[in-house]
Amino acid sequence: MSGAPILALRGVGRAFALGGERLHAVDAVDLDIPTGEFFTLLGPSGCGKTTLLRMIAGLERPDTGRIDICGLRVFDAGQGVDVAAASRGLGMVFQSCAVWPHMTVFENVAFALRTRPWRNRLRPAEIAARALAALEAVALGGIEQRRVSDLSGGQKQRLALARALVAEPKLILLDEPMSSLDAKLREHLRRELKALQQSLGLTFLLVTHDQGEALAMSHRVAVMRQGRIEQIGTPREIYRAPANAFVAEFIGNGTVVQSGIAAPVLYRPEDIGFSTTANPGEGWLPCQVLTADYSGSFTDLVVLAPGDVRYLVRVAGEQALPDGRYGFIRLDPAQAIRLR
Amino acid sequence: MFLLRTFTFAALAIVAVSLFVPQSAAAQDWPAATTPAFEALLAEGRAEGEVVLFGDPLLAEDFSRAFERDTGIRVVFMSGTQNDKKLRFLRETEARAATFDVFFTAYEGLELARNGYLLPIAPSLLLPEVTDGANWREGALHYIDDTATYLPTPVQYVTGLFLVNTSVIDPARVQSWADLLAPDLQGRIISHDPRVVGAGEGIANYLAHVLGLEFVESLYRGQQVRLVTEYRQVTDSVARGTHAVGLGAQFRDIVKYRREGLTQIEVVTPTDHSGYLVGGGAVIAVPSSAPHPKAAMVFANWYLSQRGQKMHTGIYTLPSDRLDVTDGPWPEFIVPQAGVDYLNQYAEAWVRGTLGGIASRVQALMPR
Amino acid sequence: MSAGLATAFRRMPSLRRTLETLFVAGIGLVALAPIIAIGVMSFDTSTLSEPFRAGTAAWSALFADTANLRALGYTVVLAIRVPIGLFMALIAVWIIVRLDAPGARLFEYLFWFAYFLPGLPVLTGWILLLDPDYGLLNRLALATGLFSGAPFNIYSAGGIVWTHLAGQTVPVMVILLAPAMRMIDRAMDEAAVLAGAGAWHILRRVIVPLMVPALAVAGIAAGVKSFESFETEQILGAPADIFVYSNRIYYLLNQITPRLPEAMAMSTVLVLFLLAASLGYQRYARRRAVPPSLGDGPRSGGRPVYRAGVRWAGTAALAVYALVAIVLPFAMLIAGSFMRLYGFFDLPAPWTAAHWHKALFSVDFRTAATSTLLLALLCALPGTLIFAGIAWVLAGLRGWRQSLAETLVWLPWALPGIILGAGLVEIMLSVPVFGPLHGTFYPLIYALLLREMPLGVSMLRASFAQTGREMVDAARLTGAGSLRILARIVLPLNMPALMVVFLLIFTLVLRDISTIVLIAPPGVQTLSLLAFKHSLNGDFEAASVIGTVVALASLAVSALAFQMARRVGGWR
Ligand SMILES: Nc1ncnc2c1ncn2[C@@H]1O[C@H](COP(=O)(O)OP(=O)(O)OP(=O)(O)O)[C@@H](O)[C@H]1O
Ligand SMILES: [Mg+2]
Repeated sequence: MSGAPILALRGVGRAFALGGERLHAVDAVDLDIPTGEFFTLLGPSGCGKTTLLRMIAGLERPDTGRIDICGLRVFDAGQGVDVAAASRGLGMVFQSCAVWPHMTVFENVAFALRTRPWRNRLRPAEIAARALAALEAVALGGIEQRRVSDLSGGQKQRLALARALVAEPKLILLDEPMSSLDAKLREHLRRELKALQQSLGLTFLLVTHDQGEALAMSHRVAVMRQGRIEQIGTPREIYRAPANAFVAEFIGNGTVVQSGIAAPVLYRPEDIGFSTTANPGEGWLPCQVLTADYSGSFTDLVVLAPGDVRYLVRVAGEQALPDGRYGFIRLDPAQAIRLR
Repeated sequence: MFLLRTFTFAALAIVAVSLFVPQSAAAQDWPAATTPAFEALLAEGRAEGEVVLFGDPLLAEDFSRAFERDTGIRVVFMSGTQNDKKLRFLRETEARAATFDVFFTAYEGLELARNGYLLPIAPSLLLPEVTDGANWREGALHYIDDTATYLPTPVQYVTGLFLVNTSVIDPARVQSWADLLAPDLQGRIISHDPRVVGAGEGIANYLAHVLGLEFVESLYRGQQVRLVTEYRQVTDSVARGTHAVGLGAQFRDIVKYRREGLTQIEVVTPTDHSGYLVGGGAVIAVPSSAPHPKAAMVFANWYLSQRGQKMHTGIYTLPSDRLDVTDGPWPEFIVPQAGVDYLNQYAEAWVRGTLGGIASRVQALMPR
Repeated sequence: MSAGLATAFRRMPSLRRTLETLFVAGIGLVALAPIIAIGVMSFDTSTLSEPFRAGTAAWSALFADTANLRALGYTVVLAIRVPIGLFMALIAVWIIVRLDAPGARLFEYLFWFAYFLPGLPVLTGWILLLDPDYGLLNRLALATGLFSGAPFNIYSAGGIVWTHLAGQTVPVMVILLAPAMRMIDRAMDEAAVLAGAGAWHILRRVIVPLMVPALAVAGIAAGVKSFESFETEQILGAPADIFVYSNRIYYLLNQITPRLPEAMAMSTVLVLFLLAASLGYQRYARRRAVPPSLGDGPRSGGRPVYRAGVRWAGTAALAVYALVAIVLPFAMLIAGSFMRLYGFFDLPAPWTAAHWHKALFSVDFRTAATSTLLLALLCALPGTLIFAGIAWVLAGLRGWRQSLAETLVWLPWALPGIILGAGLVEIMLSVPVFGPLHGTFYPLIYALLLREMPLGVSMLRASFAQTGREMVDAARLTGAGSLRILARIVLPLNMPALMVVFLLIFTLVLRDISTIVLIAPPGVQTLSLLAFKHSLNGDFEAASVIGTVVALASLAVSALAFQMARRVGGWR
């Protein structure tokens, strides 16, 4: 995860005409991604993630800005440079999968290998070996002769992934590649992806809604809102030091406390202490427990504290509702995240 | 480029398939008598190898094969429907870029002939049996053009007759054109539509010529003649008795219906004006740019000989003007009778003299 | 186009744009050449043997004659069949494609079959059924005692509209609309059904809005073609004094010296009509948002979405329609081909197989069948690919180039075959460069393809537009060239539309007479000319036999084509 950035964006923007007005789907985005990084774009639906990815891939033409890939200028609105998508040397997994229904699983993956120019074309055996390897990597081995129209949604997504991987591009763009997988498979594939990324030295640019996924897999995360990047940082920075209330609330949960004229602060649920012991000591506030949601390894409580503030509190293991629903919470100012 | 080559190849294949005919040596029994000049022409025609005939598809088979057998010259046949054929004939001939040698026509070629776009046929008629006037009705082969050079018309038959259903009307009551104006025939006459080109139009023009425009008006408008554009409907409707009298029926339909037992339909020859003569598309024209002019002239000789006329009239069931072609499959009522003075519509006098003046006035009278 | 070249294009937008402009110019040349020739000819006042002399005589004659104006009026009135047909076809396609009605595929084939049936013999069948004097249905109706007079009269505006609807308008529209409706994702119905919407409601609120582009194409296509139709109006209209525009054109051409300039002027008016319609549609399409990319395209059927009751009701409706509009006239046609005299059931021995024997067991039939089939394949195979290529380039164009090219592509549609042929002959004969091509196969193939290009390209274009955008993008990213993407991704995904286009060209060639007669090289015999030969001979029955055989052969070809399309396209 070092060296020159494999991808650099400067002031990249794209607006769509919507009726009379212009919708700035992506607005002056700057971004640097070093080689070998696992980078995640996180943001609510409609914030411009797909549009940004498509511009990087060369499928959508930006109105402004420039894009460098591997140090080469592939797009520059000012200079009229616009390298074709195919020549940018990257792979992409599309949000709609976009696997080709008239081909078999194998043919979908082999397609990219067969399009090579005559000079460096591959022997059929090699094509087969590489395609099968890519399919194995996404746990689709054994069904390579199936027709795509007979696959399930999750199988199609994995196939799309295999198709993007097979040509071994240095940079891979993934637009919500795991949205229709079950939890188990998603977990499996996450680890698989990460391993692939590391072993092949690939750079991943992943788009997702899922903050857990983003935090778990990424080296760095960018949070987008309405076409702008609100913050870029490591998962820890984003989580522990969100740039603003939007980022804070979008990444993980928590309770924002506004006290007087000072900047608001955020408490993560796991940072708030909880006790049912009567008057546990200094700094503990009495509270009323409103709900308790059991999630296996932890329980989320919503409590009502003096000042009519509702806090989200996370307790390890199981926590039953206390008698009379009364308990105590403790807010540690050191853990408070100051928001700008 | 590849496509182009495929096209060419397939095009050749089609031509080959459609043109393939077994080549056999010329038969020995034609012509009956020859001349050195004709033999020379025949040799030149054979050297050209083929002749392209452009006419009704009816002539594409037996007729063409017979010519090939007799002369050893291959026939390539082009055919089409009335309008299309005529357009192509006129345009290619006018541009002197003909793809065909002989066109079977009515009188469309008259203007072209007058302006030098057709080859004269008369000088190249070299067979004694063709040039001998004694072999032809009225002592000579007829031509459409007054110069008797370009457009020989070896067939003339009578049309402009009534078709009546004898089980719904006594044929004695419709013996003349004037009889058609009888009040009780109102609504009981059907005609091929004079507002489109064809037999119905020919009759209306004929009536305007011999009986005047008022007659035309009192017949078509006054008698509320039912106008149809499909020939067969005339015969059909009279055979069913829906209409008592039909005008412009095709004689082939009449023959066929009678053959199938519908003998109640009968043809009546009007006593006052006994119809007019037409040539039934048997006229031939050779464009000045014909690719095989000699072969075309060999064909003209063959076509106008007894052999050619027998073949042609047999296929069309039309009588020939050749006196040695008799007893064909045509019905008696279309054969011109000696001594009757028919109006000849296949003649320059009619086409250039009368027709133009009458036709537009007749059209103006018709219901619109 | 290799990846490197593609890069070059992107790097040099001006080169790309120049090539695009060249393409548009090429399309313009191909589409406009005969139209320009026709326009020029309409201003020719020279007589035979004179060179071209400019003048407006033909145009003033056109507007001076009230018969022309009245003909125009009737043409517009009779065009009422277009909206009616569009509505009927929409319902039929919806029942077939969306409702999954039992027997849907059979009905689809029936529509194809109706489209293939020969026009004139079927029309005669209708006359036999609906003639006011002896029509079988009229006699039947009178026998019930419910009517005092014959309820049907085929010699009327209503009769003309009905025979058109049953024979051509509805079938051709079903053919045009079906592929577009197939592209709509099944999930659309499923979602709407789950939302509690009824079938009719879903049709109106979900399906119809998605079908607007296809409906517009079908409407314009059929609307303009309805100006061209001639025979039915001639036969059914004359007794009722109804004449339409095309009757006038034929009348003018039919004169001893054809009044070509007037006919050309009249055809030019048709082209202007079409131009207006096409521009109007493009304005409309621009204002309206682009149709959404409709999911992953066709999906293999699972359980039918709609309730059995609704589906069977659909089947019943189609069955009634098919029986009345397709089976009944076809039965008459078949019966007629076995009758001694078509329509005379009272003869002592009315039945015979002689016509079949005569029509099928002749040398003519074999040669004509072979050359027709060859010519049809020769046009349809490369034609489909060429149209696909044009549609593909068209889809990549932007801005004025695109609107211009799309308009140009439509224009030849307004020309009746005989006029287009005449225009082409004119070009061959008066432009020296083309002289050597005259009398070869090239102008013929060009003319036949040009006649189907408007519909073929537009259909493929609409179909391509509905192909999932990301599927094409995914292929682009692999570095595949434009041609390869077209061949391996776009074409297989659009098999239904390709098949339809193939069959449209195929049947056009099977039916055409005028274009072939005007410009074919010597020696081409086709089945339609053979049928014409029989009817020349008064052998209407034998002509019907050939028509029926052609229809059955076409049906077999289409069944085969669909089978292949299903295999290749992963589409059921
Ligand atoms: N071709 C287009 N024309 C007009 N508007 C568009 C177009 N493509 C995207 N948009 C708009 O741009 C905005 C951003 O779209 P985009 O697809 O990039 O969102 P996204 O972040 O990927 O959302 P999601 O997470 O739901 O996929 C949306 O408001 C969308 O409606
Ligand atoms: Mg998205």
